[in-house]
Amino acid sequence: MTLSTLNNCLRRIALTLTLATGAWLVGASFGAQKASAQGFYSNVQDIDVIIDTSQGFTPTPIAVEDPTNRSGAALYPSDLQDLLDISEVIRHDLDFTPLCSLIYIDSLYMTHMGLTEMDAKAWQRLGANYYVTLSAKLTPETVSVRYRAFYAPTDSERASGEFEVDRKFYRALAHRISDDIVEKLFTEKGIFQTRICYIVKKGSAKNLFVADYDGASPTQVLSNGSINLSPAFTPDGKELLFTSFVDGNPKIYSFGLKTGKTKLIAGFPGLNSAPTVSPDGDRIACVLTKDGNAEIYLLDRRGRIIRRLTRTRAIESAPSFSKDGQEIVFSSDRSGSPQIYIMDTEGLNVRRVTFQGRYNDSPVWSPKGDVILFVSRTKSGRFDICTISPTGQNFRILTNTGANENPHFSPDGNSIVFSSTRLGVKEIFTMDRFGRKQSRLTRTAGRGDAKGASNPTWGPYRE
Amino acid sequence: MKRFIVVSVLFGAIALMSTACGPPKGDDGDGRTVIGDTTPPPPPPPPVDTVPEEPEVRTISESEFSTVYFDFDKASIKPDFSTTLENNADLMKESMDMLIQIEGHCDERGTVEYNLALSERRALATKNYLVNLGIAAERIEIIPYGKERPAVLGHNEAAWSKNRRAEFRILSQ
Repeated sequence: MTLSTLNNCLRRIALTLTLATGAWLVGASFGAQKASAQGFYSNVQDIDVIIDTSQGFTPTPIAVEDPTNRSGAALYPSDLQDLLDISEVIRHDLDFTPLCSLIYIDSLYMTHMGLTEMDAKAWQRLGANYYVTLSAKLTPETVSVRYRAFYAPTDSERASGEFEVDRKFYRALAHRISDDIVEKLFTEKGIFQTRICYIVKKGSAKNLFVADYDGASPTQVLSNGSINLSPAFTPDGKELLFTSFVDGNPKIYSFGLKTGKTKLIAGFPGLNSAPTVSPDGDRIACVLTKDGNAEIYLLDRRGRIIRRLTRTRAIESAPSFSKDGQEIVFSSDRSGSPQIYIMDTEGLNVRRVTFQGRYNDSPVWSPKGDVILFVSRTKSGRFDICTISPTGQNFRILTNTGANENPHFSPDGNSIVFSSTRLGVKEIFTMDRFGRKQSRLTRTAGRGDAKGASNPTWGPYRE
Repeated sequence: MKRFIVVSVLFGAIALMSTACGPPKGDDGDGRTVIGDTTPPPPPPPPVDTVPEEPEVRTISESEFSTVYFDFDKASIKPDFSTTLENNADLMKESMDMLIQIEGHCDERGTVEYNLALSERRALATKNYLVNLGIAAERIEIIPYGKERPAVLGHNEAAWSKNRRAEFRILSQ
């Protein structure tokens, strides 16, 4: 218990330090790193940091040592490059989560300050609560990295670990280290080994892609010459459910990521769409129009109807299960415009969540259950990503440019993936749950015949 | 109408012929050979030659069907499109074997899922209008495309108004 009060205390200190770090931050030597770090610190929405302090979400300043800065680093240049790559990925990971704020110092800055190496005192002076050191053992085939995380004010070790992989998979190794750091320092499971699925438009077809959470290794997993939409991972991460026009009218299929096999789940007359799987993996909620109007149905895992959940003349759409699987949030235009509602899995106890605006849709329940993420047509006429509590309070707009759509939470509920037209062609973006750290994940435009990415969804934790 | 009368005359003629000539030994029971066998009257042949071909000569092309447009977030048929739909219905009456598919579409605004449902409503409203004009429901298939297949690219009302539509496709005729 004393630890948690200490922690709170530190977080409060961290806040003042974070606000000061802007002045300390010197350009990073890695292009991508530089962009994201500066983007974050120059973000006007930093004001949110203060608001969110009460929610215990002040990011903890953390630094990852640049391996080149260590004195006596007796590594060969080629080996050093491996370690540099790994440290860059770890740094990006820690910068991504709202749990941390990354402090980065490059060698130019060190020279300027007359520093030969960064020690606990130096990090502490820069506002870092924690700093991480990395050392590597390399063979021609494998790389083994040991990390140590120190609490800067007392220079005491708080976490450490050693991991080994094939050198080709250095990114995977880096993500494992980042997960380990987050889990040990913040007692939260890291999301750095998770994947994202999305749709890429190629000609008149729309194909399924899977990439690492940070957009690395984008891989086309399914192309059938047709339009495929609305992918959803099963909770075990082994399959994707999606809507496809491959056989005429839109039907729901499952696709095995390991097996590569496609199976029909729901092929009723009319529209079969918007599949989502319950947290226990046993049931599917989706939209069927087989009875003449878009209604929400509960199916078993194989696609057999358990029951119809809505009975109105309105369009019911976009179901998403609550954390315990007992309730479903969905959209309905029964009031004359699409709004967000919640019902139980019997279709009873319906309550309306949104009252602001005339277009609220695509609701998704957060993994922690405390927030509903959705798309709203805001006063500007733009489609923005918003959050609201299940009781209809704390309505917040998280985006302010382009048309933003299809939001989904990371499995820890701390980050959000969505699509946006802010740069012209539709691409996938990520941000944290408060709308900070907005950055682009896909770069499909202008790549061959690909024309934009949409319909993102976030996969579960990977064991 | 005129064509309908001619067709019924033809059927009458065939019916008469087959009864008049008696069942022609089963295997080659085709009108023309039968007529060639029974020498006497020339009157029946002309209609037999011309009439079956006349409806087939005219192949209706998809471009003769006009697209119906909708207001934002609406699926009701606007009064301005009643003539359009009557014309489309007439084309379907011209070729009674014709099967069509009505595609429902939306503009890029709004969500993927909602637009799928909305586009189905547009296709359905269009279908129902034709059914009310006397077209058999079995001849019309509908497919909702949501906002996935815009007719026009662009991010303004000029483009959007052209994308909120119900398009006609000929499946067979």
